[in-house]
Amino acid sequence: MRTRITRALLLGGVLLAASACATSEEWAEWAKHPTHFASGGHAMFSFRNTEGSAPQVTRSEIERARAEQWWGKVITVSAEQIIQQ
Amino acid sequence: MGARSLLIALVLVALAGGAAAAPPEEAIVALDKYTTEKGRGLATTFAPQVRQIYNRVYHCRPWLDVRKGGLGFTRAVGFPGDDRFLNIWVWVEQEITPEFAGLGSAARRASAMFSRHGVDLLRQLAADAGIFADPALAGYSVILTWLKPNGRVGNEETAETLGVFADKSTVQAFLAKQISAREFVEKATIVAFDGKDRVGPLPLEVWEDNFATTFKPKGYKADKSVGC
Repeated sequence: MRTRITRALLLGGVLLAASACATSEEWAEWAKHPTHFASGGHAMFSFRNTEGSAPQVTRSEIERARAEQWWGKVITVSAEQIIQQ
Repeated sequence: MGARSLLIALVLVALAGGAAAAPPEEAIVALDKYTTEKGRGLATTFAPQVRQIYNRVYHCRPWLDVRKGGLGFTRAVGFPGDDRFLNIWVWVEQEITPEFAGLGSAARRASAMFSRHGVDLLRQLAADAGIFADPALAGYSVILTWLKPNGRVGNEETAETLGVFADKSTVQAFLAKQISAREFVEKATIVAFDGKDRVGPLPLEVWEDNFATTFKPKGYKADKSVGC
């Protein structure tokens, strides 16, 4: 367990350090956003552009943002109830 | 980023759950998981095309996450025989906005989801002429899962799921507008779930929605090699 947490922390550190596409302010704005869904309002994709340049985010950064805001278990159907391999 | 912010971010990463999209090796049904030669044969023959579908959805539709085992030549539960459908099962990242919650009924939400994402995914599944022409392929299926508004039960949220299965000729005719949306729905097999529970027949409506092809996430940088 301790090893897993250490690995996760290290991975998180590497990933965060690698997020060169957005400034720290933009990333913070992204990470703290209370809604993390694409919707008609598309709030999750809105960055605050404070420096006049277009901030950019990659697909992997979206993955991370979702994971960080995930709340846990969801009651949902299992694959076996719909499809068979 | 300050030290405190970095620490918070690291802790959040460490606590991360399962919201992320499955990587391709998990999302695409592995060959050894197929239970019949027909399924395995289709998957073997069209492995590059299936991977391309995954890549396009992953990079060009960042609001969708293909779930584990969600992309492949699967069978529909309850169908007789070994009819194989090129299937994709995605989690839709849909914010529960007042507008979405205001749709009111499961049928309206399912209709909105299928109109917005399902038709687009059907188009991507059916785009490859080689897959379509293979006599082993019976049809295409799209399964969408999203969070149910006001669906919290204790500490857990509830998801709604819609599955639409249709034979390949019906899908082709619908996408080419040779049959109406109503005809398509009549010919398709539709299943829906509230959480784990199967719900009765949904009066699915399908309307034009160009969100998938016109929406460009602000600041999003897609992988250029995919050609979104």
